[in-house]
Amino acid sequence: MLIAVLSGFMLAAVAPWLTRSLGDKAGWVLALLPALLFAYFLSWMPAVMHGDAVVVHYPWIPGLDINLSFLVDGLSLLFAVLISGIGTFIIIYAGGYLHGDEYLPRFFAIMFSFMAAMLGVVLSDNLITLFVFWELTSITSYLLIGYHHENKEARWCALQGLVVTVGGGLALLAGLIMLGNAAGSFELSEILGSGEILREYPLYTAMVVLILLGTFTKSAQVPFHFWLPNAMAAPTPVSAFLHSATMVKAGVYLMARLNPGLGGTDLWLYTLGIFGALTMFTGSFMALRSTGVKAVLAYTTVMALGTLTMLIGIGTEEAIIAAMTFLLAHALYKAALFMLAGALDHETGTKDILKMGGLRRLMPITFLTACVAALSLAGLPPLFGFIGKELMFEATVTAPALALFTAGLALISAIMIVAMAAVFALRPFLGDLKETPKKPHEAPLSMLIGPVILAALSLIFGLAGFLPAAALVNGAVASVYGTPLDVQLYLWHGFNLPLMLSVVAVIAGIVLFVKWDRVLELFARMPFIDRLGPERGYERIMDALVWVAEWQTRVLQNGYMRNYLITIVMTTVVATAWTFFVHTGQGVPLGEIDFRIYELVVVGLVVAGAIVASVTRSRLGAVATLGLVGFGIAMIYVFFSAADVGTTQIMVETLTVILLVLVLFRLPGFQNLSDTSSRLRDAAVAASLGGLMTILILAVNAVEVAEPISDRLVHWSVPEGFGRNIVNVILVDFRALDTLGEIFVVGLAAIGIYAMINLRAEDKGK
Amino acid sequence: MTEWVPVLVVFVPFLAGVVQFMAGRRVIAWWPVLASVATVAVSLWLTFAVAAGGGIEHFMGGWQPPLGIALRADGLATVMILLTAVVGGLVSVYALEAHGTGDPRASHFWALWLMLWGSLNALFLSADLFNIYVTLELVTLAAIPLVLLAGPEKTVTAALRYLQFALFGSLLYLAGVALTYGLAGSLDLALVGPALTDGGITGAVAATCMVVGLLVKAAVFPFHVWLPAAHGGAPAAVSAILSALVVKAAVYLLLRLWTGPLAGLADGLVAQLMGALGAAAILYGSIQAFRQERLKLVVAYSTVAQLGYMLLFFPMAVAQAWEGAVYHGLSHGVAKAALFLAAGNVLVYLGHDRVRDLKGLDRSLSVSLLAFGIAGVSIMGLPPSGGFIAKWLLLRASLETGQWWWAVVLISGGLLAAAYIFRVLRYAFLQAPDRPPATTGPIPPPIMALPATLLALLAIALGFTAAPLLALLGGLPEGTG
Amino acid sequence: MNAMGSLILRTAARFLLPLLLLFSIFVLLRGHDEPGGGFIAGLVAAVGFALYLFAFDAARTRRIMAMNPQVMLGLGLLAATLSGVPSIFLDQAFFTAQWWPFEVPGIGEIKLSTPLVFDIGVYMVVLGSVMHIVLALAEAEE
Repeated sequence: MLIAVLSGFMLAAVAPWLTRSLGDKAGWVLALLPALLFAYFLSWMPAVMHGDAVVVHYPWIPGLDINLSFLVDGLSLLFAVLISGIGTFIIIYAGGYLHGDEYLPRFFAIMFSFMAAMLGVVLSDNLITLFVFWELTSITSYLLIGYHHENKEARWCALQGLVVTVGGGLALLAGLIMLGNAAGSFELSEILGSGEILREYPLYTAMVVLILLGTFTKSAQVPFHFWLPNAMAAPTPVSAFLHSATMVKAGVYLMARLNPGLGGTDLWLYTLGIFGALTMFTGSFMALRSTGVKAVLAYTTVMALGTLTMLIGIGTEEAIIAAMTFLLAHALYKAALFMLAGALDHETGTKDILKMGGLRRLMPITFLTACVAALSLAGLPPLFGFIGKELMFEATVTAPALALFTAGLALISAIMIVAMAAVFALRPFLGDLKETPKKPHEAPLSMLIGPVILAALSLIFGLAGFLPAAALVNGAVASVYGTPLDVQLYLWHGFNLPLMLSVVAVIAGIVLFVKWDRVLELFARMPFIDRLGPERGYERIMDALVWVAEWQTRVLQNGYMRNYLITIVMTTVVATAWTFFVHTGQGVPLGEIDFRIYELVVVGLVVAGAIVASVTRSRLGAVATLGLVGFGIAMIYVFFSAADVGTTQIMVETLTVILLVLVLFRLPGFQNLSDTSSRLRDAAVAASLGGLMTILILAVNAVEVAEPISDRLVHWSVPEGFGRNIVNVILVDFRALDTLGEIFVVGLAAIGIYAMINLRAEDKGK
Repeated sequence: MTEWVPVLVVFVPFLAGVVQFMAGRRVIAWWPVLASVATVAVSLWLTFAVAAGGGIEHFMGGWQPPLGIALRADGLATVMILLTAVVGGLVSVYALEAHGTGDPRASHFWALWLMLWGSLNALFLSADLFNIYVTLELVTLAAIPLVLLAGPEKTVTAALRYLQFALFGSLLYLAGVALTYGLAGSLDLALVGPALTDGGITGAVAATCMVVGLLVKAAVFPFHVWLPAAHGGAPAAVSAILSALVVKAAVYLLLRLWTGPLAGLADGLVAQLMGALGAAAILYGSIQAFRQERLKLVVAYSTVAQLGYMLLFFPMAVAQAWEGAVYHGLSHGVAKAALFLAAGNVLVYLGHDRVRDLKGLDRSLSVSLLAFGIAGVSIMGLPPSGGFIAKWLLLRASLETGQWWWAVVLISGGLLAAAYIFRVLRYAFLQAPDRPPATTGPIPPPIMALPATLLALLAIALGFTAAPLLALLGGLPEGTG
Repeated sequence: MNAMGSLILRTAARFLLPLLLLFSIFVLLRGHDEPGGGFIAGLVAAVGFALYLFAFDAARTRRIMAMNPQVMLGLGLLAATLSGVPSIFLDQAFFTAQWWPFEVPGIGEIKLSTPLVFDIGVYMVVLGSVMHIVLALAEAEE
């Protein structure tokens, strides 16, 4: 199982190389992997078809409790079979569609990564693993959508998809973490059994809302639906894969997956029911307005996603059976239709339905396959789509709530979908042959094999409903509903309300198809519809983000060292002062201050020197007064009988003056570049640091100190260190490592300065 | 014999660096090779010795603390030395070609780099607060001239800024050390703890000074402003060392002090504040990385962000957070070095590293770009990489302690990382070239591409080798949390 | 610098340099027992050479130093580090001090030791480093 999930990533790593060496046959050969996976997943079918679930654990790092665990049950298997099965055809198709494309090798690499990530999503048992794969699908699909990178619009669309789904992903993560905490486990197989606990969880509402934000964005539910049609910018094989079995279905998968745990509440029912139904309506309405082959299909996907969400929300036996059947039916016909759309676009060179016509003679197989698949989309017998639609109508009319609302919207949507199915299947092929940018002829085998087989399956499944029922739908329904149900799928359900609705939808749909050109004219006169979309909101938010980013750069990181220094000094002052006052309470305990007059004189000189150095206008004056400060400090050392340190300080001061004199005359003259207020500010910052340090030293001085180590050092110095000068014994013996380190510091400083001077001279010499 | 290994680990690179320096213009071509191999060898020896027999202590000059200084190789120090050996060794291979061995600049590079290597090892091994200050200074003063090797005209501002920040940080740290010394009468890490804990205000102020000083050194938000220019401007090999090892040394010290001498002072609010700084670094650094127009600056800002993850240890302070933070240090080290070396190759080939103009590099620089992508996987924290293991451990720690807000930060950081890594890859890999890229340099030879690739593969391999490494690291030091 | 160097300065530098050097060696050797040591001694010597540089020029200073400061710096580092090595052969910790005191008739006890070697290393590093920088600056000036 682990290999099955990860094999896609492995193949992705070598796919570019394989593609180059295999040449024309690359698509066919590479498709072997998904085909093998498909066979592998089919072999699991007997184990789970009666609603059983198998959990496969792989210890990743024993002892760390990091495991990769996979959950195989009816639902995950249905998805896995769809992903690998449709994936096989997509890979073959891509080999033909993108034939000769310079970037084909890379395309395959991303495609296989994407497929593997999608398999990971539907097979993961662990929530965190699931989330990781979930985000991987976002990222890889971003790369796939933005495949035509020279196209600015494609890049923008890809980014939009990424931002929306990744943003939703963040919400999802928060929701999943709450879910894990509520259930006390991060394994789905354990969580799903604790529905009672989950529904009683105090934060249930927040948890559901967060998870749904993730699934709604991923599955393009209103009001996040706008990114999906824009994602059509992807090459057609990608669209076919994204829309039929993968990506957008991930959200649906997760809602279905969590239904036994989270479902069955009013919140779940109303949220999913209302948003799903609205999405269904919006999708079909937008489809009606579109004239691009891919746009029509993309909006019907939005419709299907809405339908599925709505059905999961309703959550009755009928609804769940309908959802799983509809899911399977949609996957089959949508993949076929997209591939056909690609064939049309590939052969004619245009995507606009209005610019095509009369292709039936030139592309007969395409025409026939399109008719079959479109019939399934429209929900006409004897296709599998008909069974799905019948069940859907039945589920809406028997819904425990919202029955009128959902059934009404379902009927209106169905009418529009029938019309658009007809538009798609008939308009390009009937009528007179129209002039198109490319000379059309039948598409190659690699581009037809997929649609033909998938369309044939739509037909076979429709005629023999027991096949999918037993093999796939039964197990999936058991997983989603929580208990096994006996699923029977037939074309003929007897005369009932759903059949009536279907008949109405078909008749009205055909009328709408005939009047479609009039409808388009009508819409053309109502441009304001475009302005109502939530896409505006997205754009506003993106603009605001850019603005914030620029603002912070202006304020925080403006490149002036003085501002950086103020930042670090003030941060230090605040942190230290805060610690200090937390520990001292109100009063500051000051130590006894005991001083002599000559000490006061030296200190006064040091302070005066520092002040003069910072206000003087003469460089030489500054050097001299700094020297005064240094010598004063040396005097203080001497007062406290640290003769060695004092002498060193004097020597260092001498050398400092020498060095300063050497560089002084190379510098430009002093100039006053800052105004009074900023100088006052700087003075305040400096004073705050100095003042804080003073208070600290006084306060620290007041604290009792442990037995000074100097006593011990004195004690050890002569007998063990053979020296009477304690400072020197410490430097060369007790703590020789420090001294060694410091002379390396001195050496490195010399090397650094030397390098700076010499390299600079060298650079200038060039 | 094993008690000598810590000494060798410090002094082999030091002495090699001194010899290189003295040789000056009369560079011996094979000396850097010999020195690097020897350093890697003794580092590995130390690793195996500690793994087999536990920690090693060496009292310098035979003086036991509090009189003398101890070198102490425990689990944490050893994994950091191992990281330094791996990154340092491979960067040395890269530098053999990139910097050569024959001219004065090359001589400077090798002398400084070998001494920096020794300084880092000394910093990891030192068990004495003041000696740590000395090693911090060594690291800084060896690192800054290395930045200048990219050309003083371009980097002098960045280098001086780096120096100013580093000195400010060192001074603060030193102030804290001085207070501690007054309080405890000792500087040994193992001995000063109780005195600091009972030290009332002095202890607290000492701790604050040391921690803030190290935060400045570690370029933690909001002290990060010096880092991007310095790391982005340095030669590629140097950037790799700075980002992978040098800033991490300061974070290492924060971990070391927090779980050692300062353990008794750790206060919930302060810990949360540290975590908040880390979180701010992650979000801010990542967003900035996404906005950068130059490849090396993208990678440099990524360092600002990635260092933030290690700070998330402080608020959680449980065993998994400890393991996660250190493991993040390791995997970020190798991955970031790979990124910088790959970026360096781009710069060599194109003569610029403007992200928008990286078109059509896939043919000529496929190996380097592959390395960039693979290392990016670990930076994003995707499985199966070391970055993933680290984030997983931190994530679990955040859930275990009920501090779910850090989990949100962790994930957001991963997503933002994906954004900036993919932005680069998109331009480099996927953009159709309008015309062949206008190059100014040769295609970097394999010896420059391979180290990046190996480092990137190591970042992935870390996803499978967590068990022995975490066993070597050992659990969270007692008394923390 | 040449223009600035007055006759007085030159004469003074000529006399001061040997005096300061002698003094620095004195400070170095007595450091273990009385105030002094390698660090201070190195600084004293450096001040002497720096004065000489002010009085004359970089080239002359290099000549009179006889040893390239870069080499001196390196040798100092080597000497200081290697002073830790003898302890290895006695199976003692690194940098364990070794003492070899002996009596010199007329002068008294002389303590040869590894700390002394270490201190000489410090002396050379300090002197070498300062002159390395000062000479580089002066040469850049010219």
